[in-house]
Amino acid sequence: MSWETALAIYAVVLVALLTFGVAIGSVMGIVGTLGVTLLSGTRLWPTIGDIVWNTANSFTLVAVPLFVLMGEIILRSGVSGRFYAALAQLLYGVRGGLAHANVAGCAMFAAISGSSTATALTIGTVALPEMRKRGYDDGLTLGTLAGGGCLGILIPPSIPMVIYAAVVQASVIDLFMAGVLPGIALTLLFIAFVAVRVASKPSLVPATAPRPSRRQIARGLLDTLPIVALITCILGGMYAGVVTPTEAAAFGCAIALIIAAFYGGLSWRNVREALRNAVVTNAVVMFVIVNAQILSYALTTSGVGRGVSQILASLGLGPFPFFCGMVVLYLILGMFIDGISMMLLTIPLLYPTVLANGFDPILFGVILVVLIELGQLTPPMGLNLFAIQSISGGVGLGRIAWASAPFAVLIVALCFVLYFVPGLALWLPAYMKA
Amino acid sequence: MIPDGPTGEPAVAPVGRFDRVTRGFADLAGVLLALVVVLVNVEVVLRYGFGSSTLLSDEYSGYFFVWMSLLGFGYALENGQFLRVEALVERLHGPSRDAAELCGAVAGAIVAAVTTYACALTFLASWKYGTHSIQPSSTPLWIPQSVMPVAFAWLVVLYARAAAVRARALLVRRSGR
Repeated sequence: MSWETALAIYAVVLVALLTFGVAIGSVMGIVGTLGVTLLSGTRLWPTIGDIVWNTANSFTLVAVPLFVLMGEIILRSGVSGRFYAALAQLLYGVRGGLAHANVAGCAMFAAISGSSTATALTIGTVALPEMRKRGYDDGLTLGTLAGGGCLGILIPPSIPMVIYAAVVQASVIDLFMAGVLPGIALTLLFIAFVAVRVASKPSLVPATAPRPSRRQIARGLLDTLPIVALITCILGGMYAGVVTPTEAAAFGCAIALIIAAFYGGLSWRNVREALRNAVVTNAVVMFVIVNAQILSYALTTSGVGRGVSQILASLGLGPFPFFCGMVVLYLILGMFIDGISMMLLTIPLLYPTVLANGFDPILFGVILVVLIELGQLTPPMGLNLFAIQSISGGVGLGRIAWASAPFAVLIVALCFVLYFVPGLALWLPAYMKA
Repeated sequence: MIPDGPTGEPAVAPVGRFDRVTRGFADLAGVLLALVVVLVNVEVVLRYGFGSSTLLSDEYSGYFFVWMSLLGFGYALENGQFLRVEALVERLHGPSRDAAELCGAVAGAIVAAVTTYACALTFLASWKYGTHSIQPSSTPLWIPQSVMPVAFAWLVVLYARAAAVRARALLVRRSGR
């Protein structure tokens, strides 16, 4: 069977099963198994067992449930509410301070929790009533919460980056480092957008809040410390070469437990729930990863991966048109498929061409994560939009999507900035190595 | 009417033995995750505090990770957590929804069945040839690999049950007409 026929069969089965709501992992597994079977009957089936073992037995991927557990412990510790309140107080003199606090709070908190939706929910639950009470425009509030929640997966520690690194055999530490400056840049872009919006239409926000007392400011600074200390310990430990990313994640869990105990949020029930949620999140991710590797094996053995790469190469697209096509592809996929599945579905087909077009694997990883962020804001499957809708008290999804649209545009803009200025991502890892 | 789970997966209310086994697996996975946290932190403390090593932290963290990942599949499935594209399915109601969910459950069962078979072969090969890890612990690999056929076989059972529930719902609707 030619690779073109194989690709056509895979594509039809994949799209049909995905459309009818079959679990994405199962779809990948079915297509992978079908591919292997069409190629050589059941002779290669035993290899699937080896694929499962070699994929799951990964010390790098152990970081995934550990980072999720760390975030779960912190989310249950009550630190999020204090952190947000502290930011709000520290930004008292800034017009639209709470909107800025949404962006900054979500960015920092999502970085730790590893879950954009959990962060949007946690910060949103605290922020939404407060901002409505103070008279903030609802569109601004909802947009900053949905958009801000996306920032976390770019700022390390980032679970999609760990998975990308494990799949393409890249350095987790380099990827984490490469995500720092783009993450900060996107946060600043969001904040600048909010500032411009507020300046052009002051009625969106109330007058600045009254100046807090010195004691309140000191307390606010103290309440931001745990989050800052946790991120510093994790990143510092990794970049100083003291611990591996997986060890940093386990160390982060230990620190999170101490922080939770300090704030009185450490109970047997909380720990048990955090463990349970971490196990489920990890299982969901691993179900996709394991099956994606089976699909990847089928794509490789049937020659589809090589064939697609050759076709793309023969089109003679320059790097920029190829990059534009990639952005459009991920924009469309992100509307329907979650980020990690989207990444695992496309990497086996696109990665060789990406390298052939001269992209640095680390830069591509960062751009991919930025595009995953975009997918969280694009309906009909924008997970952050759903999260914010669930706490908005009946606001329509369309309105939330519209409020988040400027942030989605800024995310696309960052992708192009990264293409034209790759140093934004690559400078820091190179500098740290030097 | 059979309710749908948070992500539209069949929200088969876990009851009796199925529920106990699935929850038991998830609890065991949670314990293993906690063990990984302890093991990795002990390794770091030993390395920098005592200039020593457990010599098995990386290896056993990997094994525990295999167990916790695979044992969590059933619980994730039962709670409708597996990711899927819901744009069309959410718009379906009645028999068409049941048919789509039945299709998903059958597809899941097929994949899980093939994977169970393949994993059983991997496990048996390690058992038969006495394969050991190349790490200092020289652990017989059939021990950590034993979870693979068990976890996927359990997934087959759960998918088959979900398929049976959907098929029954379809039949009930048809006979109701």
